[in-house]
Amino acid sequence: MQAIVVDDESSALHLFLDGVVTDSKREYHFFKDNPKTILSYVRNNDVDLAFLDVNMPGINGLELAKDLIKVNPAMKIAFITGTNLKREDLDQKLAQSVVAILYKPLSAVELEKALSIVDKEDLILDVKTFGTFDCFVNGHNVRFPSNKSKELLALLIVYNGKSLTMDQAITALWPDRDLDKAKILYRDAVWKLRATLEEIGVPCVIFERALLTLRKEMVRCDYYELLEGKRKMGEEDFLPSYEWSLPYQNQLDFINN
Amino acid sequence: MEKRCLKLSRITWIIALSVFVVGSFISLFLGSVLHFSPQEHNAQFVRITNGIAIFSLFSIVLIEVLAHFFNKDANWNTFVAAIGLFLFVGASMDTVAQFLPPDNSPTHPYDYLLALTSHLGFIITIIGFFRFFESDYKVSVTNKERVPFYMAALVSASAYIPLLLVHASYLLLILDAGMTLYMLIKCLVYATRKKTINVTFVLSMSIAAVAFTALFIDEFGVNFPNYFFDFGFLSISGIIVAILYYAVYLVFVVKAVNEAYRKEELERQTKELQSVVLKEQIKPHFVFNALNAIKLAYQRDKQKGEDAIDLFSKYLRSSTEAGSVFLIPLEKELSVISWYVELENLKVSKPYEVIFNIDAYDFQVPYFGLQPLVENAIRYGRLAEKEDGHVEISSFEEENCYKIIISDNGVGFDPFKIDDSSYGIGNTRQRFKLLLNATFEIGSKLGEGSTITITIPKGGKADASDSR
Repeated sequence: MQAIVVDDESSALHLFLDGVVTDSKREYHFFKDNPKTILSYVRNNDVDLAFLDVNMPGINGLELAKDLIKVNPAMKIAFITGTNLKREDLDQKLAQSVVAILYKPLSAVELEKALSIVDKEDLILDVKTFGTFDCFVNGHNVRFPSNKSKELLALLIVYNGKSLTMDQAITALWPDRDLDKAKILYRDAVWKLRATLEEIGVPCVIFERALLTLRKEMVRCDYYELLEGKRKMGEEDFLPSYEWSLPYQNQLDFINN
Repeated sequence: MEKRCLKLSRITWIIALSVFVVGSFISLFLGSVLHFSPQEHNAQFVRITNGIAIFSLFSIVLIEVLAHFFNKDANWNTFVAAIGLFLFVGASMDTVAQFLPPDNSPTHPYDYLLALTSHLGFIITIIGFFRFFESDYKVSVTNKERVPFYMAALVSASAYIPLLLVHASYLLLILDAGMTLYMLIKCLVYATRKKTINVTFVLSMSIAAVAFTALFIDEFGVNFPNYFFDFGFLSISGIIVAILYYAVYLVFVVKAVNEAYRKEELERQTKELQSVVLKEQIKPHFVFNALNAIKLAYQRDKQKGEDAIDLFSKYLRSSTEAGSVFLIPLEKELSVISWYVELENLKVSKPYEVIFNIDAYDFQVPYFGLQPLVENAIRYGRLAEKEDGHVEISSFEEENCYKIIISDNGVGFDPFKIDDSSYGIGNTRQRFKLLLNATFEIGSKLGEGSTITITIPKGGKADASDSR
């Protein structure tokens, strides 16, 4: 399968190349804003996805999109734009084929989200629990602006799909704080975790009032693989940064000995 | 504002007056060809008053149509009620005297038509007001009330001609009087309970008064020896109703135009306030400081640099978007605040801590409505000097409102020195008031910190999913 990227500025095309290397399903072809060349290429090749700039001197991106859809009605369109284009601004017929509007400067995270929509595959969170605690989406390390929200996710991971109540979370994460303050910090961590997961496009936690549950189907974790016997334990410590992980580390040592 | 209202009034006055005059002449003409039984020397007078009443009502119907073009709030109920009233009064004039039970009976088929028209007119009017009451007062009418009412109307409408043929149409007066009384009492009770008198109330009262009088005369009029007395009475009361209706209706229309104008003014004010806030966001010093921080981040770590650029572009995009959108969900505003804080944290050695104590978020706030308050707290609170210096944003739901509290434990400020024109608080306070009718409570203790409590009443735009 092939995808095309159209922009009148070379720098944009280069940046795109940098961000899209992880997509192994498609061949990417880059074009400047010459409608004739583009349309003739699409007519003669199997292109299912087009990334288009909007404001180009040669042709307007929206017009080009409409022409492309005429050639291949199954084509999916993603706009990459410096404008404030919104989905509501598109006319209805065009909007049906548009999977995403990506804003410049292009962000790898947004691109991953768009590709996951096109391929109809949910993004998976890769979780590393030995040595450090880190999460990855398609190889990109997830940035957690809040340390406690990252710790909260780690706790959810060890809960292995069982629901985590507010009280349990507070006991583990804020054992020395008075209850009122701890509740405030809990809500803060929950909110920030929500925001982070939404930003990366992996909604792997169900957020209910004072109850959090991990959706294991969206997570690939070395700890789970170990529990399922698919992996052997190494030298590294389990979740070394978190005090509450000790009982779980002991349990693992017990299982393996 | 004054000019716009007068303009509308002038047009409607002109149209109404011309219809009025033309109508009167047509009525005179019609009067001379219609079958008419009362004494001849009164006929002329009655015909004139007939015409005036009928065609003033007709002009009201016209105003209703016009009003719909000027103000989309005019609804079908008033329109229907106006038509109904027009038919009722118009047709009644000519027929009441003719069917005073049990002596007189209609002789000409036209009389039957007139009688039926009059009666249907009455029923349409009373139904129109019933529905107007429902939608205007927004009082929920249960089926217990609705079904009997409509049943009575149906029976009264369908049984009229048959009963007329057997000289027993006065029986339906019981139903008609019942419906009218019901409307009257309902309006009275509501007006006294809510202590409001509005268009519907005055309208209903005047219509009910005249209808009641007509029914009264109808029932007992057979005793009056003088046709002129009861006929003339009816005509005059019809004119009074017409004038009342007309006057009240014009007031209603004028009010609606004023309201539309006020909305426009509100939008203009809000836009102005919003643009002040946004200009602050893209001030050169902010942009260059951010770029500086980005450069620094890049030098430390390529990934950190890229993250910083993403952050800055997300924040900048919000501020360009905010130029055309007034209200956004709380979640979105909180994202804007977290990006802002992260950007600020790139520039300092000790990061600012902003705690999101969020318990309710299913409502809207002005775009860049909370961010300036957080910015103020960070900038002027001198949080770095305190050991546990932080800003806390809390939001929760109460029975009738949503509350947002922005508090910090910085150095505080003197609340009496707050200038309403200052960029942060004054501007934000005004926008919250204009867009959501929300109130601010500001408290501060020097050395201990400050608290801003925002109360957003429920209903109206707060819960809407998109707003302008």
